[in-house]
Amino acid sequence: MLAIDQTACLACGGCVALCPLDALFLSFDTLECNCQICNLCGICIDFCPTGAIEETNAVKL
Amino acid sequence: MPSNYDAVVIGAGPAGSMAAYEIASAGYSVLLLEKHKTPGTPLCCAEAVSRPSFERILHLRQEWIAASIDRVRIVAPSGDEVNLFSPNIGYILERKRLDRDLAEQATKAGADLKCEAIGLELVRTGNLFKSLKIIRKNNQMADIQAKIFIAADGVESKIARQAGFDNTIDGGDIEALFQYRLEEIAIDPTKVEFFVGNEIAPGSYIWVFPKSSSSANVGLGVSIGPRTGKQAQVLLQQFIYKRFGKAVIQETVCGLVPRYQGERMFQLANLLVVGDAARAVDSLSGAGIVNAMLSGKYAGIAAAKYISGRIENIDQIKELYPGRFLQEKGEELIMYTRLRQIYNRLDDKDFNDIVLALRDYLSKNSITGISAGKILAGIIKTRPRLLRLAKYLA
Repeated sequence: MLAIDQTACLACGGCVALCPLDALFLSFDTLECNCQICNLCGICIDFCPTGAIEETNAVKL
Repeated sequence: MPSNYDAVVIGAGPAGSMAAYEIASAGYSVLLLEKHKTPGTPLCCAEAVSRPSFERILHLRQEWIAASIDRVRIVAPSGDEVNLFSPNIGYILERKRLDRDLAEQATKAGADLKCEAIGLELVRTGNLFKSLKIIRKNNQMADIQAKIFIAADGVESKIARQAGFDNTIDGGDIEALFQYRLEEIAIDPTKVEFFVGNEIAPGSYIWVFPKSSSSANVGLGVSIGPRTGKQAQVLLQQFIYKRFGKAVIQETVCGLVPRYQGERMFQLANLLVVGDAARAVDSLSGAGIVNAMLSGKYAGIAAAKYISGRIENIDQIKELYPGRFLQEKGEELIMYTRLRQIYNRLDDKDFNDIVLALRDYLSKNSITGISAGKILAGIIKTRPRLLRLAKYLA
């Protein structure tokens, strides 16, 4: 799944525009990911200029 | 909050606020939604505008201007440079202040601004959109009915996408933007600088836009590929170290620069799309403020006319919006898209050639009122290596 570092994220919305599956969205000032939709294509990770998005093996309980 | 307005505008950036202002000024009720706490935040902008194009839309207030520009310096990978002097060619703005004031101008005219409110979903009945589901910070949901809707929700425009626009950004021709506001540097506050080359800024350029004699927006664009974002940061830091030595980073700004995608992005039934959401962006430089304001203004005027009942069939709105906007800006947007295609094909030798050829050209010609396309056409002829690019100008 994707892990979002909220302190690094500037909520610019670039990754939201790039996400081909519409999995990312801005909830007010906070970037969130709908992990059930995300297929880890990685374009948001490639894009993010602050390195706020990472792929992780951790599963959210 | 009422559940019925004449119009709803989603997004209180320059495009949305201009649209809401036009609708409110015409005497109609308009709800202006802003996702963030206040208009103007977070900053996703390099803040440069050309003076003539900005002032055609709005009288500039002193407090919106950080620096007045009359010099442009372009530096090639070889280190050769070209310097242009053109009095009052443009401004570096205080975007946060501008956005706040434009939103205030709309509310003073009667628009109902609601911050921390997100437009979630447009609901369609028959041919027309009838209502918008919104959510507010306290998780309160509401359905807002209106006669017309304007999507001004920026590059990530969820509303346009949800309403049926294919605004997915794909392919290699997209750019990540990364910028620092530097303080405690020494800089000429009348000069903007561009550094071009595929090593310094692959697929784009580095800009230095002064905000005063001791601060500047320094940023770069990079074509997106594996780990681009990280690369952008490293490249920018290397550049800053070389150009300024020591500097204090006051603010970090990032974003995605959309590219113009033609007329199809602007209108669908009674949904008008404006600004970055409509990809109304100069694809060469990434500039979007003026196009956002102008598209917002014309969309607002068209919306007011539709609300008044003077447009019977929604299809007729096309003439007003995007018609009027594209009449004024369409050719320019297409030209910049062509220039971007050329730009993407340049190697460092080309950049060196172009900078030298531009220098020759400027020593012989005045560029006042001449388009970038014409200038490029003029300099291509003088360098055999560049002639291969001529076909992209047609």
